[in-house]
Amino acid sequence: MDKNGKLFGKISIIDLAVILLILVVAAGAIFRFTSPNAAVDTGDGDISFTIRIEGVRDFTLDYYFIGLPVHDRQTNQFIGVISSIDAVPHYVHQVLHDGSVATIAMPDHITIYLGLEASARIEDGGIYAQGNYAVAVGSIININTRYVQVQGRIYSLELQ
Amino acid sequence: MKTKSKFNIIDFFILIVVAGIIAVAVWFFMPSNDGDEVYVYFTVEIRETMPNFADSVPIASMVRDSVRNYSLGYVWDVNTTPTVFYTLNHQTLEMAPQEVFDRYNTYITIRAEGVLSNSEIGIGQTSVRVGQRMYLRGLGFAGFGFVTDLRWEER
Repeated sequence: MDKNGKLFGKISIIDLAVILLILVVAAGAIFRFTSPNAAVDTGDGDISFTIRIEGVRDFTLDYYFIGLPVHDRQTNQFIGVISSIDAVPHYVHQVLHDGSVATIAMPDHITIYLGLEASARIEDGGIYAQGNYAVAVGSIININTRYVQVQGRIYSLELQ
Repeated sequence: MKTKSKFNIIDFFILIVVAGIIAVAVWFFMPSNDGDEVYVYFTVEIRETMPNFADSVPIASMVRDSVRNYSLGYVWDVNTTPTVFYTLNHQTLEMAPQEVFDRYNTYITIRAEGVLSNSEIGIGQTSVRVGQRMYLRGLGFAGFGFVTDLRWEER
């Protein structure tokens, strides 16, 4: 580099740094936004996990179908495929006059247990569906299917 | 005397790279047209509206997303039901519906031209799903609520 900051007397080091920065940002953006929509075979096996969707209106059950792919709402990353759908009445806790708490069915509302299957990567730090989507019982999950947008909580997890 | 060029090859390369990034970004955010072309009918439930609200929603008027100003479609139908709260009947220990005085749930059905793809039902620059919160603005009305019904038919 010469005294004017140019490599081989021709290429400005600043220009070179700008080009490298743009290329790194572009590569990062491409990696971040082009998550695969197809199933990824992670090689560690499969998992099945259940999402509990609590207190939704009963008509939403008509929009869940076995075999539909499920994506994360924010990143659009493919998470798994619906393998089972179960619905039970939704119960709420109400305080009675005597101070006790009763558990009472809420009309027109259900709790859905949505079973998903996905390939998994298993590490000491966690279980990852489709390679890099962390799955943990108790965590809140926001999902999209083709027809529904909903929030649930991961209820159970089973390695296969 | 040798004059310095105002525009060198490195600047040109930077321009090419930036133009490429902009082109990729435009391509990424453009709505996808892969899928079956359909007419989409979706219903948004706006809860606890005033009694005259439904009369302020003209049929066939255009509806936009009031946050992002996307066109969502045209009003196809408007219906109302009294707003109901569920409260505990302490005698029967059941949750019972109670109508709320002077308040109505307004159901606005919107028709849009959409594309039914594998992952979504796209309408213009957005998509629609049951459970999705929508912020509506139309000719003389505005409100927000959740999508409660979704149907489609081939165009």
